[in-house]
Amino acid sequence: MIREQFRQEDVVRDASQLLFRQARLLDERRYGDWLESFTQQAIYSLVTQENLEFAGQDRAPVFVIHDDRKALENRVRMIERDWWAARPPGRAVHVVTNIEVLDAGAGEYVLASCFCVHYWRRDEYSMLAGRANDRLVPTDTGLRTSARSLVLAADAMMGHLPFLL
Amino acid sequence: MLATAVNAAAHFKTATSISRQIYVDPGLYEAERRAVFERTWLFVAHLSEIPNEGDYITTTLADRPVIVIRTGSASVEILLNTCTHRGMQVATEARGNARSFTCPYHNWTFERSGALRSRPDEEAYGGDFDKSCLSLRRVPRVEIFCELVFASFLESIEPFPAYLGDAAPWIEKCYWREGGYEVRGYHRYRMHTNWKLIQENLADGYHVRALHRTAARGPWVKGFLAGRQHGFRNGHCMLTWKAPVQERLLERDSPISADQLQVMTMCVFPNLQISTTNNRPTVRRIIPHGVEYADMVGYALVPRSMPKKEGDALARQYGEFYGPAGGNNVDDVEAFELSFAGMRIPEVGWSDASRGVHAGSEDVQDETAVHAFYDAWVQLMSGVQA
Repeated sequence: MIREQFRQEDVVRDASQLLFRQARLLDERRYGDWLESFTQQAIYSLVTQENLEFAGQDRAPVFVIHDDRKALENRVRMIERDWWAARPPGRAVHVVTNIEVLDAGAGEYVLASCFCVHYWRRDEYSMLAGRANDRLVPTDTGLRTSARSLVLAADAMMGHLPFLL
Repeated sequence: MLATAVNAAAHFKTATSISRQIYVDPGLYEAERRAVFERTWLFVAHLSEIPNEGDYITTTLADRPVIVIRTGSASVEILLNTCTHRGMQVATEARGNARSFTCPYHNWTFERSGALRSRPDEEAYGGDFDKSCLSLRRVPRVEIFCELVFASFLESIEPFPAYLGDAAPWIEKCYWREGGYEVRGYHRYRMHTNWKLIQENLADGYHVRALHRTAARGPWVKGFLAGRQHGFRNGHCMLTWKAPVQERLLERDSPISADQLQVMTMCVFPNLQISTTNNRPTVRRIIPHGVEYADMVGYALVPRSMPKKEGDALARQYGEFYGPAGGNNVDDVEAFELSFAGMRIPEVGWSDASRGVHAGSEDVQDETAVHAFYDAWVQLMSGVQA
């Protein structure tokens, strides 16, 4: 019983540390290091609550972002090199809260959390908030993300999204 | 300030110079609503959003809250969303199905048609009250073309497809497909810019290689540069080019059908964009929000004839190209916002739009088609009464 409780606390601590570290890497615009914390098969997605509800159970929703590893690398390349909209880059604070371990089964942790990204660029400020669902898998070099699914509370957003959440 | 609007033609020094006042003058926004948005056909919904009788969505049309409701197999009504009693919106949900609308404030209840059905304490009103005067008001004209629902406040406006003129066959050729489309979701974002700068972009082939650096590396550019642009009566304008299936922008794109090679980006004056590029047919609605903001509603369309697996894949991947995080769109939004900031500098009064105009060229990179947009704008604005 006590051992189980310790294990649970270890899982929460390790998982939280990964989420916090990823948030810091994005704040510091260390996209390469951020990508390293994802598995090669990882899927990264952002969808609005509106589109999730609109799609229902049986059909795929329309995403804002639905990137496999290759598309995610391409997105990072656009942020770092191609997008005028990322020059100058904005300054972001990625806040991660309300972390819960929903499942810590064999070989995978499923986490629920909240995100709030504050983003300043030039004279404009925007804020995006919602819920995140992360799947983490243990590897030789620690936990990595195999899926990060973000659900945006707002139907609409300000301007464009030349950054990551 | 409306006096400026009446003299709209003065905003065009020559055929190729556009006054920057038209993007930034708050007085012009009011004039535009009256002269342009109340006197043209406005795209308001896709028919698949309201597939069954009684289905409705709420949105805005020329700054008015409206209810777009399906009243029959091929009929749509657009009700002004304000109770005739004390003004409250009678429909408060984004979408739903309704037999009637009951105003939350005093519970007046209206039929789908807008007619007042009942109100509490009817006996408290005098008997000589004409109920028919208390119906929800309707937008007088509604037309459906290729499942696109248009509305107009102008009773005498020319009907569809005449309003589209020579743009109509292009829509049928490049956009329409047998069985139609289904809206699978939306991209909604607000931009700090004037709505006209967004529409200009659809007929601007000049920016593509310069602004879109990721896309410009693709093999599709060759086909694009061989494309044409067209300006039509009533302000519609478009770019069109051949996009061979093997020349896809993104490697993972799967062609919808092999014969859909001629693609286009079209501005249907004033507030609709139809785009069939990158194997993703879409329509987008621009909702001006004062002179300096505009909302974009992107409709992610999936052909009804598409098998479920492919349709799901298309829905999932829509954002790769369109929407706030879409590969090209991110930079377009950047251009809309920074151009708008530049337009506010009073020392520089005019924008140049002359590439290819001297030769009357239809080259995809020239700036001739956009003049059709502004010809229509000037004509409408000149008609407004100060």
